[in-house]
Amino acid sequence: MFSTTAVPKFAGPISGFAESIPDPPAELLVRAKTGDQTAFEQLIRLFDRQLIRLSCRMLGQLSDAEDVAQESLVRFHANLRRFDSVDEIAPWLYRVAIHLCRDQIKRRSRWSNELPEATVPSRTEGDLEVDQRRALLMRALQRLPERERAAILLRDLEGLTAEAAGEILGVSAATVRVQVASARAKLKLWLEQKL
Amino acid sequence: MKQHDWLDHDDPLALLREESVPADSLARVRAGVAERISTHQTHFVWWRIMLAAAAAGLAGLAILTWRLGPEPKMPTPTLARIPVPQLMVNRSVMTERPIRLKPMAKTRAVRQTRLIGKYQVGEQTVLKLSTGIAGVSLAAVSSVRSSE
Repeated sequence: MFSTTAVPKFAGPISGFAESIPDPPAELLVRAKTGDQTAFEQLIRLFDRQLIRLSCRMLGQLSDAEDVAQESLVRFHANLRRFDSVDEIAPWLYRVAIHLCRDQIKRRSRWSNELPEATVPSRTEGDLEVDQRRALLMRALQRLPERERAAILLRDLEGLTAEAAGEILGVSAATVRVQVASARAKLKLWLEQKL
Repeated sequence: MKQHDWLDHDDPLALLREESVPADSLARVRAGVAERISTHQTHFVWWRIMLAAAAAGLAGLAILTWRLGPEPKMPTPTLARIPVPQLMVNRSVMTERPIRLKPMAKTRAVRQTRLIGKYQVGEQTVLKLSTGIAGVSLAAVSSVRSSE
């Protein structure tokens, strides 16, 4: 269902961080559970990009996404002992991050009914047109209902199966499929109107 | 290539999938996690030290109380421990004069006597007894030696 070895799948190099993981994740988990801080730091590097990316697309704000990712990883550290296998980590982190995003969205809605201005991570070099399209996509995502947004992000962006996404979101696979189909249709309609 | 080609398929989010996470953002998250875990662990260690100190203090206090506390009191004589012949129910507390009781009444008085109070007079423990017999003073006092 989840493959942790294939977790880092972002395009483009990230400077300043070693991309290679010297130890297998299972060994890192065992060492992290014994209190090895270095092992824990190596272990979270398997998941932190995904968490930031997912949270950013859920919330539309990179700064909020960083907070959510950080909180998820701190909670992961506090609950390290409950994990017997590396395969259990990714779904758990996704679930925590999604819940934190929902809390953040609820907090926002208490103060303002306006959608947040979606931020796209700044790029040192890139095509302006592609950036504009990305910004448009982010805005389109923010217009989706929160549950449909979560479903389409897990399915289409994170590449999870409907069953895995349903497990994370606490709904059935069929519900996920319906939500994703609805979200795709809404996205396409809104984007076509805007272009 | 048309301008809207990128929408002409069922995967409009493909463009977002290609996007990378900014390195500074990643660095902030990693640094934040490391800092919060470090702070948490420091607090945890301090809490453990404080708890251990408090436990040690309480244990020390308990030992000191045990070692330096007051001498344990002598066992208080109870009515059950006092031999019946030593009970002198035939004296009035007020007059110190013997109360005339028939032998059976005296036996009954001894049997029914119950402790209602005690106090120390010199080396003697004075028990205040109630005989429960009408005509015999409720304040009848028996003077016995303590814990012989």
